Amino acid sequence: MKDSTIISNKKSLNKFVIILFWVAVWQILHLFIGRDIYVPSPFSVVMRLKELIFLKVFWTSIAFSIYRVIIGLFLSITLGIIVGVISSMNRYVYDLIHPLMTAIKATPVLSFIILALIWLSSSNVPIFICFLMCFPIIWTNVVTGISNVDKKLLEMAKVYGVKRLTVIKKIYLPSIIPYLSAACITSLGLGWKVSVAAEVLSHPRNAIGSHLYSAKVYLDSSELFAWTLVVILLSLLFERILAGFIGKLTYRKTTKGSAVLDKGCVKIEATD
Amino acid sequence: MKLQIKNVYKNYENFQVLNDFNMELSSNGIHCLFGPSGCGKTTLLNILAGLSTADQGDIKGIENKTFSYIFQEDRLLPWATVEENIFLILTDSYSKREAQGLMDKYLDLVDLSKFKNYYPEALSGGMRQRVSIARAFAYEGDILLMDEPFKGLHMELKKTLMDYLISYWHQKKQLFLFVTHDVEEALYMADHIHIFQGPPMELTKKLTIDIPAGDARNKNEKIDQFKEMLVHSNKGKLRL
Ligand SMILES: Nc1ncnc2c1ncn2[C@@H]1O[C@H](COP(=O)(O)OP(=O)(O)OP(=O)(O)O)[C@@H](O)[C@H]1O
Ligand SMILES: [Mg+2]
Repeated sequence: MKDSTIISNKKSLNKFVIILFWVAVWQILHLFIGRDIYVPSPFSVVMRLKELIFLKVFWTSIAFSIYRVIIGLFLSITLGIIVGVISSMNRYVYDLIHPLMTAIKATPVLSFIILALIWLSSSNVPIFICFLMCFPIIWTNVVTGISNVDKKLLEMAKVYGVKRLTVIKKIYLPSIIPYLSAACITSLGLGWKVSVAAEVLSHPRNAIGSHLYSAKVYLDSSELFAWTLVVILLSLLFERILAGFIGKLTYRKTTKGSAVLDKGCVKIEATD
Repeated sequence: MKLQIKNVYKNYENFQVLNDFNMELSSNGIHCLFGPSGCGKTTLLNILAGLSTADQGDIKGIENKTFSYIFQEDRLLPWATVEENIFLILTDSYSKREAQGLMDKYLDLVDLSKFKNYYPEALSGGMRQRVSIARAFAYEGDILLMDEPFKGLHMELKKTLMDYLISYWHQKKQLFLFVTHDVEEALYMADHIHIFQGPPMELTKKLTIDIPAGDARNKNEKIDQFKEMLVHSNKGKLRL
């Protein structure tokens, strides 16, 4: 948001030019360092990617990694909302849950991954880690969203005898959605990263992380870069899809025709 | 039936707004609360409407009554259109058909029929205030509370709305309670003008005007005397 206001008066660079610039930087870096094992050339990475996409295991790995992220996110979003709502309704529950969330946020992901490796089967570790990292974000934003509901609107509804269910639907929900959607977008990005990290250590059979691990074992930098590229692209793709979906929920048209985003561009800190 | 407010106390931390406050109102008249900014008028209305509780004291005559309340701020849902805002408060009390009828009637009254589908943010302050007025009228509560209802509206519309209120009052003969800083407004509509000082809020004077509300008062000498009194009543502390 801020960036766009700073540069909005200038013509923005063509996306293609931006990509070209950074690929050139990469290529120069590659030439400068001169060893494929440290920085492979963009060309060799693309070639490796081209080889990969014809392999069945490439697609099954992607499919299973996506599946794990989705399950992890689904769990964290549903439970985050449920526990968030309960914590907002009951002060004691909030007091009990709050320190737990703070602790989870402050704990290094690796500690959890190692612990999960002991507890769970390799395929479930990434799901659990994704859930564990995203749950506090969802919870925090749900609680903040609920506590930021405009009291004056609630009073208005009370005077006019509006029923509880209507108040929830028409006042609470619209106030919370901006917070929840911000939390979902952050969780999506974070979920991908931690879930792949967990896969690297737990190496389940079909997983992007397992390929990253074998790239490390064989010191195959092109493969490492190729798979990393896949993760980045998938993450961007999903963010687009989610943003589009959320946009449908919160964008609205005024009769004057301008699209307005509901206020509440909520910033949340991500724990890496 | 009377509305009786007896020995009411209300403190915000250590700040006394109502300190042994007493007042009695006939519950079928148009009453104006007139007093300097910060003296506790809104606080009193909120206590009557049940939004805020008095620390101590007794209020009689509002049991089981419903309220229409024009708040000092517009209190519109920013994510709902004008129509949805009004519909929100009607949906649980009226059938869909009745609600639609009420909504159309009152949006027309405040001259906003064309803006039904606008979001509050695309409306001017005065327009939002009108939506808030339409909402309160549409609900048709037993008691009408109005906190500076006509601020930001131009003379013509203000007069239309005041005339409407007066004729509406003649149908219902209910308790209308309105806060204003505008002497003309007070003198045009009110049967009783209660003049306060504070905080803590204190009734200093009560004017009863026995000329029918509305245009009949326009060229009346007696009104000029009242005007004189009102303007001087708060030692120049009035915000006009
Ligand atoms: N929530 C609150 N917390 C603390 N003090 C408050 C609160 N609400 C009101 N007050 C204090 O109570 C006093 C009365 O406030 P109130 O809003 O009733 O005034 P008012 O007569 O309606 O004034 P105005 O004409 O400016 O609207 C004020 O001095 C204000 O400082
Ligand atoms: Mg006030």
